[in-house]
Amino acid sequence: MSLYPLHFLTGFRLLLLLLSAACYFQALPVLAQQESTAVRIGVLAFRGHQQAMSRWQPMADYLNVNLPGIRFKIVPLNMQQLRKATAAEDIDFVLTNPGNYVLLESRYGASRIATLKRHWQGHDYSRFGAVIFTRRDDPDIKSLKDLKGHSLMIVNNHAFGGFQMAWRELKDAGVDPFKDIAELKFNGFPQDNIVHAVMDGEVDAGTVRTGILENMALNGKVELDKIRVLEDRNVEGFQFLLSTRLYPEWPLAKLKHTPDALASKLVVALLSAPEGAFSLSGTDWVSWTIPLDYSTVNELMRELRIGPYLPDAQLSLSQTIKEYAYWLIMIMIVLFSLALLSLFVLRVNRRLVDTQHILQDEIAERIVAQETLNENKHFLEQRVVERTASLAELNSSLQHSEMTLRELNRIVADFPVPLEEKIRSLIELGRKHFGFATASLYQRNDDGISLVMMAGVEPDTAAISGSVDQTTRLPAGMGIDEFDEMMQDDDVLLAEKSFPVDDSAQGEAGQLLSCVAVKVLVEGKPYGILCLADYQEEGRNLGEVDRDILQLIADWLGMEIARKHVGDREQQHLSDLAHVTRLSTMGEMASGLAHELNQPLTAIANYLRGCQRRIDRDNLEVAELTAIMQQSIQEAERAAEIIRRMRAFVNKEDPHHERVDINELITRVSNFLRSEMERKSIALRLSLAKNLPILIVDAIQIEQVLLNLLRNAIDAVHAPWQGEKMIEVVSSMAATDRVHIEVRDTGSGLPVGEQQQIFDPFYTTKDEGMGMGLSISRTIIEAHGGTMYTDSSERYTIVGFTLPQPGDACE
Amino acid sequence: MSEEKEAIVFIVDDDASVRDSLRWLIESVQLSVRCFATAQEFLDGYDNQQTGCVVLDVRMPGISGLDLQEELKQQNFVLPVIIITGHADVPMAVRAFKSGVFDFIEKPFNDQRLIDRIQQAIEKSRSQKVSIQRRQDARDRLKKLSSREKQVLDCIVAGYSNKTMARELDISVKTVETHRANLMSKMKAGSVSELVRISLLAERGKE
Repeated sequence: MSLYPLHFLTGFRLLLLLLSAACYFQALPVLAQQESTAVRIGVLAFRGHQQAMSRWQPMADYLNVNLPGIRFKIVPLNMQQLRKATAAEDIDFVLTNPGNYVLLESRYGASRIATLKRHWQGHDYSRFGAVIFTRRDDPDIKSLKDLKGHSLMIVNNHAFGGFQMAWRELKDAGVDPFKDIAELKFNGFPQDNIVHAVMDGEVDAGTVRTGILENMALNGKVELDKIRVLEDRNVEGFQFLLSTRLYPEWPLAKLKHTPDALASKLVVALLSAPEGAFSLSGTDWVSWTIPLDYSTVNELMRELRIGPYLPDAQLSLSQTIKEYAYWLIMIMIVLFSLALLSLFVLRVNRRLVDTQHILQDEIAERIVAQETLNENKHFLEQRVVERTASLAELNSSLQHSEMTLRELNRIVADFPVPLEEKIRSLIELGRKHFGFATASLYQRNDDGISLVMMAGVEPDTAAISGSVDQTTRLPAGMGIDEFDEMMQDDDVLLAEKSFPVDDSAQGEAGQLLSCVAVKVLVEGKPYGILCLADYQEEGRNLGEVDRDILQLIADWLGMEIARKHVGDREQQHLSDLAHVTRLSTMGEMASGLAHELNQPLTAIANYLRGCQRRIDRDNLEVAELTAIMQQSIQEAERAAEIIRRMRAFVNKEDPHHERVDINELITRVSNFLRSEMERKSIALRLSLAKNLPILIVDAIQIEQVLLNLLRNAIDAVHAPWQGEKMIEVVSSMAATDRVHIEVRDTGSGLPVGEQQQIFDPFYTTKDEGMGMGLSISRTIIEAHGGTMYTDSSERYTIVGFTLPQPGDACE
Repeated sequence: MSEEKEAIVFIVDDDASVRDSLRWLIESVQLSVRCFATAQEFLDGYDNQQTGCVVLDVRMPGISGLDLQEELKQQNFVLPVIIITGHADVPMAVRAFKSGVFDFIEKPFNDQRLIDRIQQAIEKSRSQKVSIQRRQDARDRLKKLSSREKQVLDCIVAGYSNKTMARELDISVKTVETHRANLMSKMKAGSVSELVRISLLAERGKE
């Protein structure tokens, strides 16, 4: 083995050493540059600027001495300022509480380089916690849960040791300090005051960082025996009273921009500081040690959702970008849309130019077309004028038809006109509308054709030819066979006939030579023919509207004739029923009359017999006799009045319609029943409308109807009915120009579903009823052109009827 | 309870003139009359101790004459009731007599008949009064008996001999005889038949 390689190696090492030394000296100017400006250490000044300076200036002095060429400067800042200075890189190092540090670490990338270590009574601690305590003699608070509803004193809600540590434990124990604690008192610094406040009973409990109590005890400011520590914990090697988890002590951290070399130098200087180089209040001395793990602090912050985990914490840069990403995207979209829009505008512009060329060509074509159009327009205008003239003509004929229809409507709607007159009006209307000379209604009987009614102009009565059948006056040439043929033709309802004038007939005046005939159906069966005829030969051309009108008139004729038939039948029925009713009414009246008369007659008899007996005993004084006679006369008058009332009621036998004040009629009928109602404790109320028109009715019949309704009402509210006993008679004028008369009672109402049945003959709810009253009443009212109706519930029954106002024709 | 107290005719009629004229008629025979316009007024104002009778109109608002009669019967009313009606029918008359009216008179009526019936009714009322008094006396006497005396009384009424009684009640014949003598004097009975009559009188109307 030769020595050379060894020497070589040694030499190589030396060279490396030299090289590294060179590197070292090369680095120096960089440091020198930094030395020219001070290295700023931002410290959390939780008790003010002055206090922070006095706390930490010794450290800066130590560093300045031990790291010559670098000037360290203490910058006391509050939490807010500290955060701002960190963000702005105004400081190079930061010395703050663990909670604040964790925030700065997560937001601005501060990284710890050393952790504070406290020395006290021969122990050293680089971790600390908080103690939650109360007086030992407090009977209520034995655990954290008991703090609910009591007061608690803390430093402030940003204090890490002075509140947040305790907060975490309280929260774990299910106590929300901001809701469950009766009063959260902020003490600030120094924390000694919290201890005093608790001991003096100013508050129920307090929390301070570990060590405070022991330190105060050492100085005789408090006796630990009198203190109860809540949730007392024992951690091996930790000598202080403790209620919470332990967290690392204050860290010293370098910021992102701070050079590592500088940080290493600082750490080396601090770690190699001799014992007792620095001190803090409440400690014997402090030193710095290698940085601890601060994840426990992070956990606390996360649990309490504070510091970096505050939901609405101020945003970091990346968060800002995230937050505004939406806006950025929006702006990009807008820009993109603008680009698209300008592209589109360009394209449209190009197309417009193209279109312009096409349009110019088109305009030329249009001018040619315009000329053609003008020609057409002239032609059309001419046509319109022609058409308007023909429409005007049509319009006037329609107006004529409309008038006829109105007239038809008037005739049909006119109630009080007797049916025969109505039929005559209809025939005359048909004749007038078409301008025929005559209008005749023929009926086919078993024994031939008979003329029912004829309206129209006689030709010249003197000249009527003997050849014309005087009984039927059928148009010339229409025989009984032809008539039957028309009657049997189901399809043809309307026939136009023109009869050729043969020689024999010519010259005969008064001959009906042309006609329009319509079949008249009554209740679906052929009844006869309505024939409109002229004395001229020329037939007519009826338009479609005219044919419709004629057909309508024939239909109405049929209906009116049917009504007449029904009316005739009903009239018979009505008079039969009226007879029955009158008999039963008379019976009832007789019974009522008997009782009515019985009362005054009994009284009179009693008075007179009383007198007689007194006279017999010669025991009657004149004054007494006069009074009794007066009484008797009154009773006799009462009886006479009953008779008069009765007569007034009975005398109205005249069946003819007459002018009637309906209210007077109601009053009269009610008076007749009034005493009976009084006897039965039934209240009677008349609600009569004023200014009702005079009606033209059969007063006796209407009285019967009213009597009937009132009787029913009395029966409805009479025993065994236990409810309210009231009958009301109401008269009113309805909007339909009809007079309404209603009888309302407070009985139990009609059976459900039988409201309409009550008008049926023989329907009754009474044990002794015939079931005829309402049926007859309805017949009477309908004969007067009115209607009967009813309404009922559990609490009332209304039975009413309407009567039409007399039309002008009847006035 | 004085027997001498004057009898009163109570008139209940809603018709003032009929009521007034009835008073005039009845007062003419020296009877006292009190008038009431409604049945309710009468129910509120009558005195059950009074002798007399009631004249009722059958047709009245509120409580009718027949209703009133039935109501009075419910209340152990003892005065005889005469009902007057203007419009009688058979069911009404049956109902009236079933409920125990004294008479049922139809208007128009004969004044003599009405007055006769009123006087008969008052007579009935008076005798009723006496029998009621007697019954009350009998009851009062019965109340004074001891329970053993009552048992002996029951046995006497049942017709037991003293021997049977002693066996039945498990006492000596001597004791029976003592009880018997005591109760005879307490009941103020001179003989066994009088004793039985008084005890039956006291029992009547109790059921």
